[in-house]
Amino acid sequence: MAPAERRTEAGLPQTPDNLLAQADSERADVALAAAGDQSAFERLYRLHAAKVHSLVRRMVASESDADELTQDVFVRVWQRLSSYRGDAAFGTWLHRLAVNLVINWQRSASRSRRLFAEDAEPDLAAAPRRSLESAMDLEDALVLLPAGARQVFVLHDVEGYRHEEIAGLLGVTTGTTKAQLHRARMLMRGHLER
Amino acid sequence: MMSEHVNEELSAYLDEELDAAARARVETHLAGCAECREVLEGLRQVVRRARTLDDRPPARDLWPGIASRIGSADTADVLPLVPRRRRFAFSVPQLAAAAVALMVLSTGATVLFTRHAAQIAAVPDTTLTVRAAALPAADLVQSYDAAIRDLQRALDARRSQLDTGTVRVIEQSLRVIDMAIAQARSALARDPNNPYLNSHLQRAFGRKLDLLRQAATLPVAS
Repeated sequence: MAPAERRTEAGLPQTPDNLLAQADSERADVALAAAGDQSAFERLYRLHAAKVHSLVRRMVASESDADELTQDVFVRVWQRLSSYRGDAAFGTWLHRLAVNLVINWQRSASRSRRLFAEDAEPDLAAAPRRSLESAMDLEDALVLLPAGARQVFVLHDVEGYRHEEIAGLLGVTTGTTKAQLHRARMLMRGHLER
Repeated sequence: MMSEHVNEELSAYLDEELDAAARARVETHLAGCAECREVLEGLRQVVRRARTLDDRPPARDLWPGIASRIGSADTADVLPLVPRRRRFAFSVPQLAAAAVALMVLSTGATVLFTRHAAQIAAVPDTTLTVRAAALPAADLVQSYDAAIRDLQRALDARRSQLDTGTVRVIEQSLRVIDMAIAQARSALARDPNNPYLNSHLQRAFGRKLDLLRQAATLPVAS
């Protein structure tokens, strides 16, 4: 099977010209939004909504929580645009903000106490029913992971964070994140090969 | 005799995190153990699939909820020309030069009012609003161009008195807004009556005026 064609956030093929055009347009919209232009901010939302929502949904394994948290992320971005200095790409800054917001949400919801517990089990009610009968896709299998293992898996294997970064974000050791990652991969392998 | 299974080390092996000795031990075991090779291949597939996951948008449009939380969204046809101070943080010493700032602002505003009084409606507290539908696009562009030129001149005259880092940030922002203006103008040349492009151009002009007026009111560097 041919690999899927990579696309920009705007849905265009990832040619150098399209990437440059998107970056230019995004920079302009960031400046306009920072000056209070809601239309420019809506364009930024449309550009990044899929990426942010997918990240959040995978981390929290709940569509409704992901909807609410994605809205929280963009409201927070709007409030903090004046502090965005352009040192990192806007998408990277937005992504970091989303990860931090989700992690803090889970902490404030007192979920962290059981996040890394050995016997932490996933919320099977959230798992797609068909996954119990047939081969799952990766998104389905993610829902079945225990919360702690899922977070580490999403940040490391999907988003490309290093163990040191994840450990810092979650307030655990790299030994813990490595053990959780291996646990997650083994469970995923089991779900996907079932 | 086959060595002990290396299951627990396979993720670290896959991520190339093992030291040379551990790596050699795992590879020796893998060479003789089909079961561990199969596990390794399964893990490799999981990692490969995770890296190629496609993002998908939320099932419902979340923008209305966001718009309602960040303020009213139905202001597209009105350009507020009042400086939005909440987007800029100035220190107390900077505020001490408010007298200079006000003087420059007054100059810019006076130029705006006198030259374009017929086109721009003034309301109390130096608030200016420009109604998009009220002006033909060419006249509007001319008005903005003139106002921007005047404020740019005021800023240039004070440039050497301002903090160099601040000037750099202002110039960077101006370049970005200029790019947006150039893009909108270029698109309008092809489609002059497009309401969205006209509105977008006006907003970009408005932002540039905002920024220039903010810059013109900046106090001198201490």
